[in-house]
Order: sequence, then C-alpha cells, then structure tokens
Amino acid sequence: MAREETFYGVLERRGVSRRDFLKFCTVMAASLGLSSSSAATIAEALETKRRLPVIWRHFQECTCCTESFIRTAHPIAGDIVLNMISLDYDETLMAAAGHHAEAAAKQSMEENRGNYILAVEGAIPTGDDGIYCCIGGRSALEMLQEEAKGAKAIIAWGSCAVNGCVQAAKPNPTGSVPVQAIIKDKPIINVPGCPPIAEVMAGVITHILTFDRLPDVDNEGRPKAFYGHRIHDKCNRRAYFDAGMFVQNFDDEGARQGWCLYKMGCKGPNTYNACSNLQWNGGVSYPIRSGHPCIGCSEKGFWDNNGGQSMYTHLSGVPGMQIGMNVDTIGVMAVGAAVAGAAAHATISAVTKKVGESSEPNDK
Amino acid sequence: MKLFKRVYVWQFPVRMYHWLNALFVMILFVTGIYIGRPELRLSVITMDATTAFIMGKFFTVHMLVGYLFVANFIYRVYWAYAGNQYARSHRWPWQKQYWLDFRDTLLHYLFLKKQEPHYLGHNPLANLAYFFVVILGSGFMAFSGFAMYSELHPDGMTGHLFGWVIQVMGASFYVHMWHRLGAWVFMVFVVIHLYMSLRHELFVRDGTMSSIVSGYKYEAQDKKG
Ligand code: SF4
Repeated sequence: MAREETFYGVLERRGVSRRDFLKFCTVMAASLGLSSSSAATIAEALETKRRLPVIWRHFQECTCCTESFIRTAHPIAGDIVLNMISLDYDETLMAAAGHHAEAAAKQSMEENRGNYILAVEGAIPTGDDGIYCCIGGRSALEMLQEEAKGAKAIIAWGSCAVNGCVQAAKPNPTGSVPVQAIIKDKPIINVPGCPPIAEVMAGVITHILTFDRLPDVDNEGRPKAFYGHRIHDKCNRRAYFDAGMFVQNFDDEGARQGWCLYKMGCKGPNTYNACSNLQWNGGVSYPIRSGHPCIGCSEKGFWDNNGGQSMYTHLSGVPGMQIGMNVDTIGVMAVGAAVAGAAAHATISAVTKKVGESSEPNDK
Repeated sequence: MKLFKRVYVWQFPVRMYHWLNALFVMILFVTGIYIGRPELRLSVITMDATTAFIMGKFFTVHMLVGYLFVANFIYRVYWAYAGNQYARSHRWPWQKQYWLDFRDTLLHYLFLKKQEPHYLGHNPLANLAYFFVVILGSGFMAFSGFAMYSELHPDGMTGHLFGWVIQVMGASFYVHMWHRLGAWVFMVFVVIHLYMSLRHELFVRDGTMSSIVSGYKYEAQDKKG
C-alpha cells in the first residue's frame, strides 16, 4: 500500500508544514555532521525518493528501542521511522497479525529482494537450537539467517542487537548473541544504546535514504556522527571532573551542586554515545544532567562491568575472580602476597643458610 | 680469603634507564591510582571548579611521564644493541637452553639445590620477570595507555594507531581494567625485585645492590662466570 509514496508526500498528507519539514532536514544534516548545504540534499531525497522497504524484526528484547522513537518529543523524528520507510513488517506496530503478518514479511522479502533493509531489534538466542525466541513457529536464528540473505543492509537497533545487552550478560543462559556474531556477509550498521536516542535512529535512516549508502562507521560499525565521542568528553559536569570535585553520596553537598558523578559509578569515560550532545526527549536532559551516573548502556558488556558489585562502582571487576573484588582489591592482595612470600622466602633462606654453614663449612 | 675480581657490568645508560624507569613507574603508579580512584579531597566546600584542576593535573602528569617512560624504554631497547654483553639477554624464553638454566636457578630458589648457578648479568629467573614484566609489560602499558588516551579523539592519529587495542580487548572499560591490573603487576614486580636483589646482595655478596649505582659487580676468582 502506497509503496511508491515519498516521505514528504506522507508528511504533507498528515498536515506537517513545509517549514517544519525543512527544519527537520536541517537538524538531520547538523546531527549527521554534514554541511548545512546538505540539508537541501536531504530535503530533495525525502521529496523524491521512494520510501525504503524495511522489515523490522523483534527478537530477544524489551521493545525499548521502538518505545524510544514512538515516544519522541520531536514529531517528525517519530514519524520518520514510521513513514520515511515503508515498514512492511513490524509486529509491534503493524495492524496485521498472525499469518497475515508473516505473509506480509514474506511478500516484501520477495518483491524487494536485494533492496530492503532488515532492521533487527533484539539479540538472538542460539542455545538449544534457538528455541528461546520463536515467532510464528520459527526461531529467531532461522528467521534472521533467511531474511538477511536478501537484505541490502542490516540495521542492528539497540544494544541487544549490537552486543547482546542484558540477555548476553553473565551467565547468558539462552546463549544469546548479537546480529554481528551471526551475519558476516552483509553490511551491518550498529546503533547501540538501551535504547538508542530517537534522533539517532532517525538520523541513520535519513542518511541511508538520502545518500543510498550507510553512514560512516567506526571500528565497531557504529555511525561516527553519533558514536564518535565519549559521553565524558561532552559532559556538562566535566569541569568538576577535571577539578577533582566528585559526588561521594547521592545526598551530599556535591550532588546538590551538580559535581562529577565519576565516583558514583559513572561510565561516561568509557561510553561512546550522543547523549551528552543531542540529549534526550528533544534536548530536555540526559541521565548525567539529571543527576544519575551514566551506566554505559551502549557499551559492550555493560551489565557485567561493575566490579561484581553494582552499577554504582566505577572500578571494574577482574574476569574469573570472586564477585565483589575489583582491580584494586586484587592488586593490593597481590602486592601483599608478594611481600608475605618474600618474607617467608627470606626466613627459609636464613635458616637453610645457617644449617648449611654449620654442616658444610666449605660451601662457598 | 677469597679473591674478588671487579667487573664493569652495568654501563651508565643501563643504570640511567633503571633509575629513570623506577622513578617514572612510581609517578605513573601514584597518579594512575588517583585517576582511577580519586580519594584525595583537599577540601569539599571551598573548592571552585573554575580554579581547581586536581584531576586535570594528575592526568597531565600521567600523560607526560607516560611519554617519558616510553622514550626511556625505546632508548633501553637501542642500548641492548649498542651496549656491552650484559646489556642484553643471550637467551630467550622460546629457547630450550633458557629453560634448562631456568630450572637450575629455580631449584636453588626453592631450596632444592644448594649451589646457586652464578650469573654476572641477569639470572634466568630474573630474565623471565624482565621479559614478561619489563619488556612485554611496558609495551602493554604503553599500548593500552595510548589507546585510552586516543579516546579523547578516536578519529585522530592516536586513534588510528592505537584504537585497535580497544577493539581487541572488547570495550573501553576492559582496557581501563587491564591497564590498572598491569599497574599492580608492576608493583608486585617491584616488591619481588627489591627482595631478590637484597637477598642476592646478602647471600652472594657480589655487590648487586651497589652495582646499579656504580656499575661494578664482584666476581669470586675461583669460580667461572
Ligand atoms: S559525570 Fe561522568 S561523564 Fe560527566 S564528567 Fe563526570 S565521569 Fe565524566
């Protein structure tokens, strides 16, 4: 239905003004790190190009990615994912259900072979033949492999699809893995975050639609425009970090004054995401600004990065060591053991030397 | 009475490397501990973020000394080629003879063998520690350190040179963890190193302790070196 319709056509029909549309194009150009003249390119693409056929799969996930963009404060950013693309299958948002839904996915797959985008939200359980996530009687693993074959590219939405997120946290009972662990022969664009920011999701799609290629990505396949910097380097509390002024407790003076949350377990120094510049809900705020340390939700293994204690400790645990031991505990123990070992060795050396001297006076 | 021969073992560049390295490692350790765990709080209320720059200073010193540490290390690698026979290892852990020598020395330190095999340079036990901690360890600390440094601007030159380290280790968080664990390994090394040289000084009486200042060790004449 309306497959040939352009994105702008859809917006027009919904009564979005030309002015708002152009504003949106400018915002997108800016957040993608493009020059201001490319706003016109974006506008043109959205006006003339056919919408992208997309099959959107939900595997092992909580739907927070979908929630993120359907609840965005920015009206067009929300519309984007729904209208800029021709969403041929998305069980959360589509009207059809059951066999009809699966038939729609199949139809789109065949009609657009080699042209559609496969968007995956959620991790894929591989344990016990993937029975932990089945839709319409087929396992997530099977569906992903089949649908990836004809896809032009894959977008991995959210931390689940990018690095496994909570499903893959220790001990990972369902053997859950991210998309990139299974699909090796297709371009995959990773958009991590739990969830990713709506504007980031919209930006990725805008880029693909406008330029017919995937945005520039870093070593880990994340779009550089959004994941090119750490939270820490754009954080509004950064001055307090450099000053050495840290919140020690959530109810101390520092917390009231808005000091750095490093010691409260802030993972901003380890987290690549756009929260500290784009912010959430149309630029209202983001966790650190609201007084909560960053938990590093877009980083690999963030559930396990906690020194075995809680998300509120910033020193990491050491793999294979007892829970609750962070690097420093282990370090101090190791140095202590070395001192004790040296003392013991010294004692034995002294004793054996004495014995040796009295029994064999000619030794040495 | 035994006769001792005075042998010039550690040339000046080797001694200089040793002491500079000791100094740099201690500075790096102290500043690094603060950076990961800023317990120092000069004052809670009177500080002002516009003038205070405590973490920033620790950070700057850590980076600066990090560069010096690497430069010193590179100089030492050069001296391994340019220096005298004691300035380099003759045997490496991938050679069989190395492990045969190692076994003898280890047995002595486990009190299973009376006679300590004598080496004027480093003994095989020490060599192993130097190989893993000083050579590989310094390299590891430098690479992981620069990888973290590059996080300020992942798209820059440092990012291109060292960004792969983050990927190899999985995520930024793990790089920080391994770097910190590495720092503790250095401290364990320092303890054992001090003990071993002190013990050697007392038991073998070859001037081990003073040799790292003067360069001279003493070798008993009736023994083969
Ligand atoms: S609050 Fe977190 S991200 Fe912000 S400066 Fe402190 S450590 Fe960095």
